[in-house]
Amino acid sequence: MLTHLRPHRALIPSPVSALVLLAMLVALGPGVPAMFRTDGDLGRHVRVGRAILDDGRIPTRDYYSHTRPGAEWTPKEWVAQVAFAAADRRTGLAGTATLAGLVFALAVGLTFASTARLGASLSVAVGITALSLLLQVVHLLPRPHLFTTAFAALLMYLLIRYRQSARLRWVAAIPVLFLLWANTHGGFPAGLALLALFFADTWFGARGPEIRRQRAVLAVTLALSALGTLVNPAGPAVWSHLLGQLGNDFLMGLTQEFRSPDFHADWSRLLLLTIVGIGLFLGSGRTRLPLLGLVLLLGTMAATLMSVRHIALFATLGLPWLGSGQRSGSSTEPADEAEQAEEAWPLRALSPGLKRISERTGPIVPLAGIVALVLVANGPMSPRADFSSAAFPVQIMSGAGSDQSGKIFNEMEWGGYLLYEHPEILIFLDGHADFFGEELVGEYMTVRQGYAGWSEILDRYGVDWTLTRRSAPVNQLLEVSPDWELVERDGVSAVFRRNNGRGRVRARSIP
Amino acid sequence: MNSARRLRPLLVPTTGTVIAAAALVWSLFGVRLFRNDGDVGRHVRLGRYILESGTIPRVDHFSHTMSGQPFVPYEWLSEVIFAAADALGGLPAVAVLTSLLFAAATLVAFRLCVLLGGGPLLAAAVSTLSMALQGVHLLPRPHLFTTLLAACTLLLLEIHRRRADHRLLFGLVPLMVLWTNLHGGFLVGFVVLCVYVADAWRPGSTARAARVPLSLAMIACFLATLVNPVGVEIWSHTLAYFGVDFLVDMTDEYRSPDFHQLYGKLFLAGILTGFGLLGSGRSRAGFRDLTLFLGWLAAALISARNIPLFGVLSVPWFVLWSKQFAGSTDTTGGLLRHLSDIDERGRLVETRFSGTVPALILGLVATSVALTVGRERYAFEAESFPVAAMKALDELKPHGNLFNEMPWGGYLLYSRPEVPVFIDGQTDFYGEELSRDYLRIRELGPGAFDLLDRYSIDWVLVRSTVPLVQGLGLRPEWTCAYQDLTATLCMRARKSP
Repeated sequence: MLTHLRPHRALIPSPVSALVLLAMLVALGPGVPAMFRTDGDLGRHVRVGRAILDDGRIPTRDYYSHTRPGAEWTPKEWVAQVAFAAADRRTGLAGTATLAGLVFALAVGLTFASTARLGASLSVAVGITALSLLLQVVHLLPRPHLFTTAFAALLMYLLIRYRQSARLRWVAAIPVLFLLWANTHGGFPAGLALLALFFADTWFGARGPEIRRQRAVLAVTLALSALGTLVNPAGPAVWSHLLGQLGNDFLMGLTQEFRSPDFHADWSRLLLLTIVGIGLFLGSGRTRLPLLGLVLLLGTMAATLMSVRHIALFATLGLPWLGSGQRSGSSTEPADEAEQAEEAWPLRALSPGLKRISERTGPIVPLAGIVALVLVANGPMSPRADFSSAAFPVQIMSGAGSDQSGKIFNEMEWGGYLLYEHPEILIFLDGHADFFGEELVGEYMTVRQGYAGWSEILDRYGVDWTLTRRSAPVNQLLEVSPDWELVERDGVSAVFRRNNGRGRVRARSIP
Repeated sequence: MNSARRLRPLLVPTTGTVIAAAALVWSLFGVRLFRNDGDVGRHVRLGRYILESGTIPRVDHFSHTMSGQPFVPYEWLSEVIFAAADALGGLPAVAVLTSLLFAAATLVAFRLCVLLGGGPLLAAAVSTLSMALQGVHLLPRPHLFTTLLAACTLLLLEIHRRRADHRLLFGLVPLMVLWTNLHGGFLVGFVVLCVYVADAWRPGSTARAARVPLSLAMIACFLATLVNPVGVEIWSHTLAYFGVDFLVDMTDEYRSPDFHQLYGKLFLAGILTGFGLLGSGRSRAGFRDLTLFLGWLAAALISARNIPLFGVLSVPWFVLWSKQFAGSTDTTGGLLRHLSDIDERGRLVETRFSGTVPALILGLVATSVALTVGRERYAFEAESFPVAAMKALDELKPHGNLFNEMPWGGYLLYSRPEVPVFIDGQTDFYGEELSRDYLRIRELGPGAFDLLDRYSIDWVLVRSTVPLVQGLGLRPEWTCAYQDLTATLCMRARKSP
């Protein structure tokens, strides 16, 4: 009797679709408030994207600050900015969160696909992907870097498929991917490095005509992909811009996400456990990772220890290789990689059950689930997708702050928020530190921290009013300075105004 | 002829003595020991007090904010040792003591590498990495005793494991008594011992015969930790510090390592070497080595000050894993095995020599040079400490309560012992509330000027760049009477109401 009650196989979600659905649920549920809790950079991206959509041109100069008006800037993320602006135009910040959730879920799905392709059993692949998902959540912000994570995951999947099948179709689209990547986010060099590692790997291990052919194909793909990165509004300058940014220790040290992880923070405990867990796994001596896998695992782990923003690459490019191990002591290629990898994991006992489930699955429920989530996230029942009033000057800018005129000195993290919510204000600077440069960012720090020379810098830039965190040291100085007066202060921010205010400066439209 | 033959083992330098000598020379002449850490000043001051009064202080005598408050003297013995060195030859003698402790820890790490199977090449490579990692936190402070004693504990336990001579474990008890009175890091020794006990008790252990002796040694070591001026309270005091997140976070050395810095890159090299060896699939770690490696790796990731312990407790195992790696059968392993054979031959040659005489000569020469020419080199540096401001202090003679830069507290206690400080680097004693107030005043947080009144501050000696200096410059009741590139001295013109 019960067999008649079994749901149709198309209604049962497969493990991978369940993971994708879970990723969407995480991103559009608890992820939404977190996306707008501390990071205001989205504001700048949407603002630039709006300008491109409105004018049909990609801006190469600054129109948003009073400190560097008209200065040249490199539009290395314009496709992502257009995508976020289009999503914002449709349903506001909820739309940008939805877009972020979809890209995040795509990366999670591709991580599963790569892990499974590398020979992990179903249960191990589910376990590794779940861990990858949790680690990626750390840097889940509606910003262009999410595209880099998804593109990197896609690239690795394509390269794995090519390595296993040697069919050209798996690499044919890679140069096009790089063309898109170089216009979407500055993280594309990571992709080229991945491609170069797969190419280098052909020099180790097995030999023969087939490997030589793969080597040649990968070399051509690498060359075409490198050329593809030059097809962008700035051309080769995008490379010098990126390398210049990476070589600037001051700016790298200043940007929170470029710093090493703080293992005292709650979120970092999972990363610590993962690193220790990897040590235990490798130290058990039960498996031996392929050289490429070991290099990618340790390389992305090292990159994460250098800069926490690389945690997503560690999760998508490094972790899947944990499922690829051979039994230690075997020097030959495994006949059945999946079987061998299973033996290294305690999760293996779950595999047969999961396998049985996955054989009777279909796409209806997951697709319906994703559509439902997108509709809910953008409908009236959605979790509030707004810049948090506990972290941004939402209240003060809806009151006294909005009445201010003249040039502003603003908190760096609030620049994007101001560009989004108050487009008429020309900001002092925002989180786009690579554009504003070391000198201006240094001056900003001097003023904000109340170091010697703070007052002269405010004079030099003709600043008429300040909007900073309540706890910023400069507020104590402004409070006792005869040249400044407190306009308003709340639990988050404070507004001070120079006694001799000037006229309000409004944003210029793009010529 | 016979006497020459007998002397030859003592005269020929060994790799171990070369490594230790390199550590001594590098720490004496390659490191700026007094660049920006003033805590040694506090330790010497406390040690002086103990030497002069013959009693170990149980209340604070050195600050105006915590005067008379109970104080746990958990480092009194090292403070006496540092003060004695200072009394003998000033800061150069303190530098020599620091370098000797560092070189000794390096030598013990080298001996451990040899014990784990390394020949001169492998042991030298691994102990050089260990030395570099120990150098990350090379400061003239009591924690150096912990690094040295941690290495000694591990060496002793490994010798015991090989010889199965349980009498060796008795050596741990006096070591632990010393350690408990030298530095709060005695917990490290206890943790290492616990790992060996757990290893002995786990099913299938090859060290089953040592279960009872190791367990008894652990109990004896616990009892040994109670032999200190405050008895069992030392445990609660030491453990309580880790629970105060704010204090841990505000102390630079307790923060997670910054891998953009050179020391971070060295640490990263250590991590990748260990993981690379384990991930090669040719090395199989045992319980104790894997636990110690991953345990101190995690500890060092959480707090950079644990990197030296990673250097002495985790890194030496690379010798064991490298031997396994080189002993594997494929082409690369074969090449390495060949190198390993050369190393093994070197090891056999080296066992004939001890290198004691050249080590002693070099040690004596290095310390003599340091003591003779070191007056200027081994001094608190004027770029980081208010050295030039001390003249102004003598001329202006400010009186009343001082607000001082935290890292300068130790310097002031050392160079101006008559001045009670606001705070120094001993944050576990000053506590969270006072430390928060210190930061709020210094960084000009909300209510900073009210706090200056509440603590009845009459004069301020802080870095010239801190926001407080700008704030005081705008307040009519304050006059900044002295300023150089390093320090600013401000005094209250009239008493606050």
